[in-house]
Amino acid sequence: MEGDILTTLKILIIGDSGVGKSSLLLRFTDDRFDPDQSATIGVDFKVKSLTVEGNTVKLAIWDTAGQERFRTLTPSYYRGAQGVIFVYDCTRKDSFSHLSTWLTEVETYSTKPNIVKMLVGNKIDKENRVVTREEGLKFARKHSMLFIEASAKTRDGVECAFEELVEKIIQTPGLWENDGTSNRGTKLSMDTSQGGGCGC
Amino acid sequence: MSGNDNIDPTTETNAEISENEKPEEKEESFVEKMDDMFKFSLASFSAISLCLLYDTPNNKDYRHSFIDSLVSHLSLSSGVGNTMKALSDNDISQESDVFIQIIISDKCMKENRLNLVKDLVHWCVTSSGGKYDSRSRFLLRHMTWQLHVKLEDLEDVEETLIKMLREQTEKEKLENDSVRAKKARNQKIKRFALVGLAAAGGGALIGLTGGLAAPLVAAGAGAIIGGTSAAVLGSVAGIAVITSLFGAGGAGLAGYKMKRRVGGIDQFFFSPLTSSDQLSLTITISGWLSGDNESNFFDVWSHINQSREQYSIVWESEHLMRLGNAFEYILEGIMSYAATEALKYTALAGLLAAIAWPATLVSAAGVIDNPWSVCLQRSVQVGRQLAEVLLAREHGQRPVTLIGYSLGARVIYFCLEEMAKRKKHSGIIEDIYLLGAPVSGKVEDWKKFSSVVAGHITNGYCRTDWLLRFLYRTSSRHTEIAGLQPIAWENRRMINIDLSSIIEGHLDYAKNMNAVLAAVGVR
Repeated sequence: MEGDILTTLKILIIGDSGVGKSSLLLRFTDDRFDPDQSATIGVDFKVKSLTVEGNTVKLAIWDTAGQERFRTLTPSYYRGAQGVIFVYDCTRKDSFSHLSTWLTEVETYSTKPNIVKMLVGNKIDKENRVVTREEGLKFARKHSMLFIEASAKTRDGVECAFEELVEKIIQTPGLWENDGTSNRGTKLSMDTSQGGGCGC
Repeated sequence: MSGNDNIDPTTETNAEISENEKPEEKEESFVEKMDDMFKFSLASFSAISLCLLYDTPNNKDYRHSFIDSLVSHLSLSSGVGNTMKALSDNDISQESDVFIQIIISDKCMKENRLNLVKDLVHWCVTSSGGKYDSRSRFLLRHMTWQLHVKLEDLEDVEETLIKMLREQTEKEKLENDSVRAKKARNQKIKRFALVGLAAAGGGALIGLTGGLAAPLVAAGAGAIIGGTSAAVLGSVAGIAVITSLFGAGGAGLAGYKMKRRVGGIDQFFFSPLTSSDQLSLTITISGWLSGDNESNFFDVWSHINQSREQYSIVWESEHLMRLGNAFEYILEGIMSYAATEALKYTALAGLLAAIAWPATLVSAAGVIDNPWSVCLQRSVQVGRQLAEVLLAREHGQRPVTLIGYSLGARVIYFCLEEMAKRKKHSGIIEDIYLLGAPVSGKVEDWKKFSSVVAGHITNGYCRTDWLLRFLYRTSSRHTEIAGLQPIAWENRRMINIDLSSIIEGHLDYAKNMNAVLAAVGVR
């Protein structure tokens, strides 16, 4: 069914607590929706293969915890990410206004200058929407992001969000080509640990 | 740690009983003090360390069962477990620094870092029903080192755990006995119960004796670690864990008798160097005997303090004595100082293949060649015998460190080789120290040890050891000898240490052992 895997792409999902990051991922990887989705601890990690325009890529998706107390961890996950998905809740203004903070974080910690950014407005199935499509689109344009509105509950726009992101990453030169080998930074600390086993 | 399925069924029943009986005494465990962030960081740190140390596919089952067990111990969700497994398989690369920082700066570490070490060691040993895998121990060593905890402290924690388990076992035995003898011996039960109580809490003991017993209690590591012994262990079945750790027979290595002889070994037994029951042990193997007694099996190792439980293998003393005498005859009898020095420089220059050996040496070759070839042969068989002992877990489910010089190092090499051929050879050996080893130094011959040895393989060699070179002069097969050169194996396990500045000649491995051990990092 699928051809040779072109490359593995690292994608990060960020955004405020409770905007539906984990639900979007669950819908995308398992095509399920859990109304009682519990808060993510630290980070969740899932792998899925995706074929876009004949190219099959493996996606390593990192679903970060939105809760404030896990915020110290997040910077360490940005390393080597080619794509980042910003998620906000259409029914919560605060989650939209916090986007600029998230944007600063990406710009601070991302190791790839041309990282592809995508904005996803989640929960469009809900009646009480407060952030309009135009507002979202305007923010995305201003910060040169891709934009889509989606609902993890009804499946609307979820697949499309990931596909568009992957398409854009593949089209971006220099973002993924020389990334076959992932060098582990921890190798260094290993070398120093060989001091004959003495603990100090 | 081969999963939870090995837990003795009595463990769980005991858990229920102890919780029902004394809920108010139950101390808040360390895990309950951890918040999600701490738990997640700890799991991530473990997973990254697992990946770093045991990244080969044959360790996948070990990595995953370790993580399953840890995740359930920390009561984290299975989703976190999957992320951790991916992290340990190196599917995702991540650095551990941020997690270490979080762990170290957490409030529950501020009180006492050893609480975490204690929790990890206890969990490692008891969750598996008393199997202390050498990989787990090396992992704990790696992690505690990164958390700036001294190795001695880790050992103290281990020692305390053994003490607690012993106390627990006593208590269980007393409970069993008292149930059995309830009707017949009412009087004795009272006494038993009193003893049981005393064993249960050191704190009570101090209270009763008005502090007189305090030095006794403080001598144990319990003083550093704190917490009442019985409450910490709580639900663990002491007897089951102790039996597993120290072997079912209970005799241990000191009581080991060769049941089935491998090859033509005349002598092979373990003699304790230090006597105590510990969570890990060290076995030393001498390479020859000087004089006409067996004291070299022990004297050489008199200052070693690598583990708190140590044995020396007494093997083939007759042949090793003959070899030792031949060594001394050549080195101290017939060879002049000048000739020896000249040989050292030639050896250093690597010219020995082309050299004409001094006539005196060649004429004396007959003295040494015979005992040498006999001992070469015997050491292979003794190595295989040692492998049998370790594979049969005669020492219990505990990690072992092996240290040997000259032919003793050869025993270790062939022990590893034999183990590598067998199934279930992982998780037994922790570290290996080979000093002046008369074995192959070809990388290909060493690579297979990566699944046998969890920790480090240290090769201590001497470039100017012309005697060793001379002994191999006729063998064209062995142009690379481990005792003469580093082993060019790119692996985190392999450590090569040049002892040329310490070792004057092959005999110095025994004569100058303390300096050699210090140089290779053996305590």
